[in-house]
Amino acid sequence: MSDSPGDIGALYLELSRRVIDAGIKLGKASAATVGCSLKEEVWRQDKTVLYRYLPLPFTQPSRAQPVLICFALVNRPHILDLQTDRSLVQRLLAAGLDVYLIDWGRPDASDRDLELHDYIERYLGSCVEHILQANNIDALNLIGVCQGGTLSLCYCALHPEQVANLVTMVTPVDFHTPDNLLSKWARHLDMDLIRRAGNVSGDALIGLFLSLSPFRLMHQKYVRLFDQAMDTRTAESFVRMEKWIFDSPDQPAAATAQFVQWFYQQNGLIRGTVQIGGRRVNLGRIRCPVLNIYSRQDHIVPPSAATALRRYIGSPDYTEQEVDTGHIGLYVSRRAQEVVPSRIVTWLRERAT
Amino acid sequence: MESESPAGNPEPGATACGAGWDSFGPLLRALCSDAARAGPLGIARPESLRAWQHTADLILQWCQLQGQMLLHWSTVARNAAEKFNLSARELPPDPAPTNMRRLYDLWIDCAEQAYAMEVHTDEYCRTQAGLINVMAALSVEQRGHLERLARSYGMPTQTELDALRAQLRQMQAELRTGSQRRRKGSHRGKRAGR
Repeated sequence: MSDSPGDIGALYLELSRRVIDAGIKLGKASAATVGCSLKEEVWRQDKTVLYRYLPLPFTQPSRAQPVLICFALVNRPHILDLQTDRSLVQRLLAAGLDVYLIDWGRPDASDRDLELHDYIERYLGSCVEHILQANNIDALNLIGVCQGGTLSLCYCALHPEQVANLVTMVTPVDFHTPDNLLSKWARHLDMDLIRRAGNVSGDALIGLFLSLSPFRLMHQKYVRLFDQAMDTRTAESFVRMEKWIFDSPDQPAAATAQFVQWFYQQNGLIRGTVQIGGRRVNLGRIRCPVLNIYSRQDHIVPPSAATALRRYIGSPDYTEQEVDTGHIGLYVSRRAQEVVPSRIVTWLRERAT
Repeated sequence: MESESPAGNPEPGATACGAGWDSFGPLLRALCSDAARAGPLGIARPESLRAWQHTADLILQWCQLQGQMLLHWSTVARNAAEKFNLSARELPPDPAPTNMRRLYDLWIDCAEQAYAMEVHTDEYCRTQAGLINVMAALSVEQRGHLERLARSYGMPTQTELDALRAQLRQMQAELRTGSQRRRKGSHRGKRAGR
């Protein structure tokens, strides 16, 4: 394109048209709902709910044990089932797996005293017990995602007999690697004081995550919307992502303080100093097969923080899978959708008893 | 001091007032001196004053930390501008408006690099953590002020609610333990029956 005044005028007209068009499409897409797979509530305690996804019709059930997905406390788990073409859950169901998911709910002031012990032993533990009893089995497959991966590692180390195979996705293990910005920021926080101030607001968490890369996440992302004419599907996907990103529940004061102190400040998971309900979490006790999936461009959990796992677990069957995306891209990007679900399914099938 | 009539005689009302003051004055003076010995009351009590002083200290700290944070941000802006200036010179000269997008992306890259350089430093981490700590402390202080206010109006306070919640949690835990024991007992019973 030349730069004559007529062309410049046409360019600005085109840009204005795209902005207006995008505004209208985003407005129409604002009603887009998240979550595409059918599920039923099978267990509940306090605000924690265990869902079982209904099998897809005409799907051959897999021989693999049921899969329990344990997501992070800091975000809502529906990112794993965002829409039909971006759903880990849907791909696992299509492979015939029996899929369960823990929804931690939205803690309020009455939950401020909940501790990590409550989340790991009481809620996660009860979910595991429920699935084991319902399926009359001794062990299940556990998929831990992000912070949920750290909780899953703790659970697996405390109850190794109940986990047949463990999959960790973008899970921090070594919290003191030099490229871990969140950890550096957390190092000087007075968590006893923050705990006394009550639950940590979800909005503050959103601000914290956005401030890890503010220019890209709060500016460039929106400018890129106008790169090309937006279709309805793109607008709906964008809206769904935005809804998820800006939907962090408040965090229970006690559990958050413990997580920051024990993991981010003391790096207790690899130092073996974390104690849940008086029992030491020793990663060396994890002897089941482990698949560790991480993102190459992760700005929240750097690859070095995730791959440290191989040095601390006691399992002789350890597999790593790197995916060339960012942290959130691992859940929803096209590249990750091509790699991650099929890798998990194949890996689990190979180890089905 | 008594008022006088033009004739020089005291007004009857003024005389009555003077007599009243003569008896009331010493009483008021005694009350004032007692109050002075008792120390400040209400919002001026020492414990309230200390709390408000602490709040003021925290606000001052918060302002100082905000100032430091602004310095960090000005460093980010300066470094980003320098990087952008250097990188933009390497781009081929192209004044076309379509090149604006490339310049914009370059600016974002430079800004992110400058930001990353600054926010990884120990000084930045300490400033940011300090700000969060001070805000948490302010929140705790404000809650303290509200608690005192609620108590003075006979309203339930957060401390009382926390105590009730702790009792509830303990009762729930005992209930859970009891029901688990019952379940185990019934399992054993079934097994023995077989």
